Amino acid sequence: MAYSIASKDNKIFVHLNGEIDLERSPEARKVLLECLENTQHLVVDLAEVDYIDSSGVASLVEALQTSRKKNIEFALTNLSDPAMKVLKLARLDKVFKII
Amino acid sequence: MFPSNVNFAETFTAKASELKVIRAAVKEFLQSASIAEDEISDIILATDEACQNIIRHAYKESDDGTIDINVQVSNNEIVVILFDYAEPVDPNCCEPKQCNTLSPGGLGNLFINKVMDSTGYQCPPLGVGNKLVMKKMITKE
Repeated sequence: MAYSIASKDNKIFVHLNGEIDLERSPEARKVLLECLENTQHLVVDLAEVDYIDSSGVASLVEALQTSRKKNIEFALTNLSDPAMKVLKLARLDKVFKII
Repeated sequence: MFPSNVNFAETFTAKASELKVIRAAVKEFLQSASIAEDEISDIILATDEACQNIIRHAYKESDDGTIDINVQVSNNEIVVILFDYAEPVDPNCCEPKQCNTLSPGGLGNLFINKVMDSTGYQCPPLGVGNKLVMKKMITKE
């Protein structure tokens, strides 16, 4: 997994790329939680996620939980087919804000 | 058209960095067996999640275990069999979470149950470790 971070209009955009699995999800979790320390609005772009498993989804869930505790806007955007598939399997597509 | 019966059998190291190798190997085998892409992605997800359970819960992330993966394709079914050589696990230890609930745990077994038609533990042939059998019906193209 690789990632990039951009900032625009007081929002932080995190672009996650590649495969987010048990090996890589700790890095995704760390990046998302660090970004939540520095913004009031975080958007996670999943357009280039080729594969994401339960550990990757758990990282997104933990980031969402943290954002709610801190009253930070948190959204997912540009979900790739693999990312949308696993969110739908868990019916989390109705839980996350997707823009 | 599927071959009548084809079989994949390989042994992998039980560690997180090996998962991408496992996914690639299983994908290559299923593509060579002319399985539809949707079904391939289901099998890969289930295999990955089951291997994660072995790494995390059976071997407790010790890095020195192995996983034997056997995938059998017949005319109407794909069977994935995973063997490990860790202490026997309680089959109820990893209950799938409920859908639509906001907790990070239990997602792996939920995914397995969603994409496979049946899954269950059987007695391992050597009497040690764990044997997980997952099955999925397939349709001919």
